[in-house]
Amino acid sequence: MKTKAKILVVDDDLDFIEISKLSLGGQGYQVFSAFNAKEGWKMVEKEKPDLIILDLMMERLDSGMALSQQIKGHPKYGAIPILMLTSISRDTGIDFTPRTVEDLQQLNVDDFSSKPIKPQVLLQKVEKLLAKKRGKGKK
Amino acid sequence: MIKGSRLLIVDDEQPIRVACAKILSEEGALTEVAGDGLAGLEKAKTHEFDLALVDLKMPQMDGMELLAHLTQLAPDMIKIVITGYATLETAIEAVQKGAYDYIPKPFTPGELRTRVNRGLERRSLLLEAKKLREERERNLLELANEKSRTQTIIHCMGDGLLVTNRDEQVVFCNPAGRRLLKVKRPIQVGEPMTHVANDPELIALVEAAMSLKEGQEMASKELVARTSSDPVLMANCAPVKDEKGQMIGVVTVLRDITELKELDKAKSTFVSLVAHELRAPLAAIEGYLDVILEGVGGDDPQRMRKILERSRERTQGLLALINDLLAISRMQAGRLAKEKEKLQLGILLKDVGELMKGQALEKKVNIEMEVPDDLPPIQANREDITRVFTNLLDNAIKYNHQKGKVFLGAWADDAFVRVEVQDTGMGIPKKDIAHLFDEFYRVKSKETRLITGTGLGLSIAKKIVEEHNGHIEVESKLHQGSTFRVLLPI
Repeated sequence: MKTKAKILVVDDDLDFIEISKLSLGGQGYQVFSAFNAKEGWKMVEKEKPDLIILDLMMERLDSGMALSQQIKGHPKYGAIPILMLTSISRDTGIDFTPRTVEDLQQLNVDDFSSKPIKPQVLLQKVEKLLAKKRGKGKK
Repeated sequence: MIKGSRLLIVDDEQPIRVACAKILSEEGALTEVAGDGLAGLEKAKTHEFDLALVDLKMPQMDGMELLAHLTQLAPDMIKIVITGYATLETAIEAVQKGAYDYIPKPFTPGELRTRVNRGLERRSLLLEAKKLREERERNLLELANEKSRTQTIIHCMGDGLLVTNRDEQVVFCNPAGRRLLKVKRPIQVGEPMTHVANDPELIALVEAAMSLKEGQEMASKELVARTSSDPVLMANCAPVKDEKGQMIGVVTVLRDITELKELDKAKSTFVSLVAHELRAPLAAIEGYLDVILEGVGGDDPQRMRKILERSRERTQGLLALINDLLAISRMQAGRLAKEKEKLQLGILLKDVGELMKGQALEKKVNIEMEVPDDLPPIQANREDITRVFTNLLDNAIKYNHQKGKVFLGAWADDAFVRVEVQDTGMGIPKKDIAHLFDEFYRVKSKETRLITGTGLGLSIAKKIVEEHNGHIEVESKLHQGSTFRVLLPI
């Protein structure tokens, strides 16, 4: 099942992209990457991924948030699950960590995690989101 | 009293002169005699006497005239008149001319001794009084000097001084105190402290100083600035006690510590930046290790190799960062002047250029040099200057295109040696140029993404150049290349 799924990783951290490619790719996923929100949107249109892993802070503090809004508001891509990652909360003192379902909806994302994230945990989250999407698709 | 005293005896009657001298010498006095007024005055001009016995009726210069001269010549000398014409009038005139006493002839040796003794006592009292008077005047002068000195010192102090009494009224405030408390008008003695200091923290601190426990000498606090333009003040409040140990007021010293606070802040910003820069590569390495340890990466050996290669790159980056940090810390810890030598810059530049050729070759970048051998020598630290040009050439290669060119040129101007490092690389966006020499600042773009660096190279170069009283600047054209220009004084 999962072998066919396409995952887009949007992050300005080269190492994180590399790690995601290695771990998700090692599990048979097709992994595409983009280094900023603009490239990310292009990749969404081009590859129509099944899931997007999105970094909150890239060129700006909220680049990821703007992109997730753009995707979720789009008729064609709105259903793509988004896993948002961030490592900024502790450094900048800005806490974006969503604590409720409403928070997640506010951020226009389906799940949220802080970085660094263990590859195993990332895999689990990805699988869970994809399974949920498949479930919804059937209904 | 008589013993050791210096006496002048002036009388035209030889027997009286001799008799007086004999009587008084026997008592231990040092005597000089003179037969008339003029001779007496001459003696007085060349010797100092404690007392003079003066006959009134004498040839050449009579006693009255001599008295007047002596009073003028030595006001502290005691003068006693000896005369056979003892009338009230002569006595009064003699006293007016400065005589102290009056011995009518004939007189007994006992009488003479008593009068002389009394005269000498008088002199001793006079001298003592004079000494005391002089001392007092000197003390007053010193006191006046001391007072104005203290006032000047307090007036010129950089720290603010505020003295308040037990009723929290201002007793004194120096100009620095007014400035720090932002009081633009003169302060009246007795004004309530709250009129002068509107910071409740300061008022609370002064109050705390008034109720300090035994053994506590001071209440201190940093007063937080209420607006960003306000200075940060350190207030030290110490109680003032009278001789009975009663608290009579508080002396508050205010110090502007804004600059210290800013330094502190800059330091902690630097530390947090360093922490961030250290954490990023470590987190990446951990991520790579997790991929292997958790077995999620599959078992493709090529994949494994890639993971290890990336980890290695990151540890190399970490080492480079740590080396740069150590270089910075060495520079900042350099309280001692760095060893500088007469540096032949031409030779040094060629050496650095040759050394970088290997690195350039990897990217097929060609290094061209136009460095004359006879550049005037500069006074500089070899290791530091080498680092500056290594960093600049390293950047010129790293941020260049494949098969690009690097030009290293040097010229001697009137007072400077000018060195330029030009590349044919990607150029620097305008918005980044202002921050280029900031610590940890790196230009972020698609093209720089894969270029590793610590973000410290240029800031180190700038620090070194400025330490040598030089100047570094950059010109850049996007997609065409950059020129870094270094001026070092000859």
